Amino acid sequence: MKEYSLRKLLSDKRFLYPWLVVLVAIPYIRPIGLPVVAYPWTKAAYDTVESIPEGSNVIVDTGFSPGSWAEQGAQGMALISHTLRRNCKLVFLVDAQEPPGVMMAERIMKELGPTVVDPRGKKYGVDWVNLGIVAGGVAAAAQLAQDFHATVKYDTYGTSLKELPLTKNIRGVADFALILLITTGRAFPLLEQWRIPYAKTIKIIVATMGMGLTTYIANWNAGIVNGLLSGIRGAAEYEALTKNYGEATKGMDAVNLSHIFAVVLLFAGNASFWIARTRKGKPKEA
Amino acid sequence: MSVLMSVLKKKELPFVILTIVGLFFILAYYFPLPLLASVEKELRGWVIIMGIFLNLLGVVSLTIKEYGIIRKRLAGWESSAWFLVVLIITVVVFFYAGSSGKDPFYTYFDTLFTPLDTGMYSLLTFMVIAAFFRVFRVRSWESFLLVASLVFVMLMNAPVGEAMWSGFPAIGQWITTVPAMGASRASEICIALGGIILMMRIILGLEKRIM
Amino acid sequence: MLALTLMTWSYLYRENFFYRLAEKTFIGITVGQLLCLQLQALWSQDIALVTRGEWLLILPTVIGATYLLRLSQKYRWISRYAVALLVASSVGLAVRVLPWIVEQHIVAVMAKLTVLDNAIILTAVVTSIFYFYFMRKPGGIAEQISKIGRGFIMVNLGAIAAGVFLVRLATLTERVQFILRTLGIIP
Repeated sequence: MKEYSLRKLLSDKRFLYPWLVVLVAIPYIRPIGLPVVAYPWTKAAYDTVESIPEGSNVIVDTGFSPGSWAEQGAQGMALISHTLRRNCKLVFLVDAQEPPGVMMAERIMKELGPTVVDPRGKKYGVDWVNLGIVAGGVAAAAQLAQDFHATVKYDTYGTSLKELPLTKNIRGVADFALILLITTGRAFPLLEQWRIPYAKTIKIIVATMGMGLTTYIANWNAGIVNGLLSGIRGAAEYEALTKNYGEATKGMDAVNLSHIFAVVLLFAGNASFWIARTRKGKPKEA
Repeated sequence: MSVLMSVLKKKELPFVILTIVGLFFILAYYFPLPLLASVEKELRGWVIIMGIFLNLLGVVSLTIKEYGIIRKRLAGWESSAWFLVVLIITVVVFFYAGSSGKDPFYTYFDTLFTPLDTGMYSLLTFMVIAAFFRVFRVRSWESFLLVASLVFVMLMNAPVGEAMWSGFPAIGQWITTVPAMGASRASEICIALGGIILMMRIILGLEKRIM
Repeated sequence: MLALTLMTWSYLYRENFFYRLAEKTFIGITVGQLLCLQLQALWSQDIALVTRGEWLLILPTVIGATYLLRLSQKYRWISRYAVALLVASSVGLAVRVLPWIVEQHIVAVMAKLTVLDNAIILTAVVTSIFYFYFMRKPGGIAEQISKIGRGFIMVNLGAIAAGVFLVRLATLTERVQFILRTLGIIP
């Protein structure tokens, strides 16, 4: 009976899994090249970076692991590339619960080396500093806002912050114009302890994973967050806005066919369920 | 001495300390007097140091558990032994390099951890695609709303949705910014209100489970 | 490394030795890095300062170290003091922020009521809060309001599920791209 074989086929992982990989691979071999249009929250993030004075200090939380590099790494590259082009100075840190984030900051700067860092002569200690993990959670974030050097004394390489040109004169939150929160969820509490108490002087852009969109969009609408990047789509939108196309744009190309495949499976699953239910009077599971 | 020990062992004393210190932090925020501010700053520094041990506890606990499996030769002890070997190698490489951003630790991490982490994460994609056929069944008006929202937001996310019909991103955006945001806002408000209530309960010593 | 990716993906066939090897390597590196970074933080933020004369920091070091006694049944009671201080500071610092969040959301909801969309948002917020607070069937008009709230929550869950799919797919695309590059199929 054809529909039962088709139903068995579509629920068989030996069919589904290889097809998924093939559908993801095709656009890499033969790019489709559909444009990505920016949504208002991504545009607001772009406008936020454009609105801060050139050369401002920006604090960046890169609390994500390599598993999220496709999304958050792409978001980080897009945002940090834009801030570096505006000659902003970057201070990276990570919450103690997301230690791979220290490496992610390094990786972002390494990957941006040929395109932004080296051509513009950006130097460690002058244009960016990596503080590594900052232990202490909420207490550390609150302390960092008021007394930077009392909270963190050394960067991740063991150099005293008082010896680095970028950080030697930083006192606290008043010396920063923007927070970039590029995290999967275990974020250093910059939103709660920097943005909320000091909302008049510092802005924040949140770069979240795809499923965080509906959560943070309420915060964006309420004015708690100035701009929002959501998932690999947000990174691709930001690349389109800055006309700096990279891995996110290629990645968005790759998701097209698999999204269609998923929608087809959704309709096929429901169709087979309802056909079986109508015919036999009780639902049959695949 | 035994009287002192019996007093220290009681559960009530830590709760009293919790209440006093918690109230102190709240008062220090609403009454920004210099003395309160300087004591608060000192206490915050202490908490930062104590927080480091919080993270160390998890590491120590896991290591003790894995060592116990090896010592008693329980099922899967070979995996636990491998875990300890990798742990020791990681620690040695880290302290040899001096920092996580420097080679050879950066190369070690990038070569081994990155493919493993992304491989583990990507496993779930396959589970999710299977769920699209088996799990998302429209049986009621609520599941219809869930599936409809899912389809439109998926086609909002993928550029191919806009290429097929301009209505897909428009409807998907409307769903994200109006009904979904409303429900999300409600959950944010409830989480924040619940958080305030829970924290007041903790400060008042009504939550015994935390000790 | 291609081999490591294929070792983790071997789980799709069934759990096997190679997958377990990959899993334990992953956990070992994660825990090892966490341990090293915490020890580094302990040195730079505590011990180094104590050796330079900040003797008062010995007190939080000792109190923090007692937290490790949670692993001992006999001496677990000592760790309660460290827990009390940590919880008190987190609570005291967080309670300052939460009312502001509630206020911002309520102000944002009430601020724009001139457009149909914003009326829908207000309806969604009120009915969803009703659903969260009256989860057990209250009966009557409250139950009807909760049902409407449940509908809005389902819409939100559908949007979240779409986001979850995109997240997972993004990771898969990165791995597939890596495999294609390793095999020389794409540059």
